[in-house]
Amino acid sequence: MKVFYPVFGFVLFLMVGCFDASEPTLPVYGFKKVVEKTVNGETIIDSLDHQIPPFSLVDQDSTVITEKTVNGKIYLVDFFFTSCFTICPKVKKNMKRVYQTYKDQEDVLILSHSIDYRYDTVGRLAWYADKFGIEAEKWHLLHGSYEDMLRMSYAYLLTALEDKEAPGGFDHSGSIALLDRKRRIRGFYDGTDADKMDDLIRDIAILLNE
Amino acid sequence: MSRGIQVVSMVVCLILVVGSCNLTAISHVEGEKLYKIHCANCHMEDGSGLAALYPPLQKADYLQSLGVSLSCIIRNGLQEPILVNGVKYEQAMPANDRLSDVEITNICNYVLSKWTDDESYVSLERVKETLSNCQ
Repeated sequence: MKVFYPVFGFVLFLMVGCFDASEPTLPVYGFKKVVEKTVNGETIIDSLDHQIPPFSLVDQDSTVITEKTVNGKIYLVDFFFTSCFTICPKVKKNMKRVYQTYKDQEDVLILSHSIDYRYDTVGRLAWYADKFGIEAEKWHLLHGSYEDMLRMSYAYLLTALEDKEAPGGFDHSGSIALLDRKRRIRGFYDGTDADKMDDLIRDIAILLNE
Repeated sequence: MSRGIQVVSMVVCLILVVGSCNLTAISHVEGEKLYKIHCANCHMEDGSGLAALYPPLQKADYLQSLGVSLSCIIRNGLQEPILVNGVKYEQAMPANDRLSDVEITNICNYVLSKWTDDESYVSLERVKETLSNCQ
């Protein structure tokens, strides 16, 4: 009988490995920027992660939203327009589930950028937010000039542009980007796919623990 | 073993026979495909709509009262606000002028059979007649 004790001990040892799974991590997206800097009189080459540059846009409550609003927060980003009849409603429906999951979590915000700079005024965005049933402190619907929106779409690596051939006059990605506390992109999720929202909800939890 | 195969093949045959007997379901399959392409973006695949922005079709008093005149809305869209289950929907619905009468009939049959109490089949003739008298 005694011969089983070492075997039992070994099995237990193997099982410990199962419970000691290292914390899951998320990749950092975008191109790294190479910079030269001087440390202790020596010039060294370092690389910086792709970080969203400072910005200034206006939300549905006429509040100016800048990089300071998302400072130290985890946030989601997408591009849409309120009169869109293609993928937007589905993306918004899926995003609302994520919104409801993290509604009471102070460190999570959502920034939805309208690419329809002419029609989607602050008033129109306020109407949309009211009908959609979302709170402005948590989910900002953003208005800005066309140049501002193009610049943001490049920064977030999401397609959004005016296109007369596209339904509604704008072409944009249905993806949602996930940003960490340092304004670095950590994930992309197909907003038209309800199942992908489970991944997004899980990954937000990973970033909250970082 | 062979007895097991016999039982399985009998069940499969039974399913095929029952399935093919249901003739109205064939038209609804076509309507379902068209619904997913032309309507589900806003009204969602399950007909739940989106908040107070896009009206639901499931359990919707407005749809229940429409009947065949649903065909006019599919073709011409809606510009006026509507009240569905006490909620005001103001977002305009775009026209679908590229859909043929047959396609609209198929969508009507799918939508009405799935989300209203009316089980009766809507004929192409009735839809054609309704479409020629849209307001």
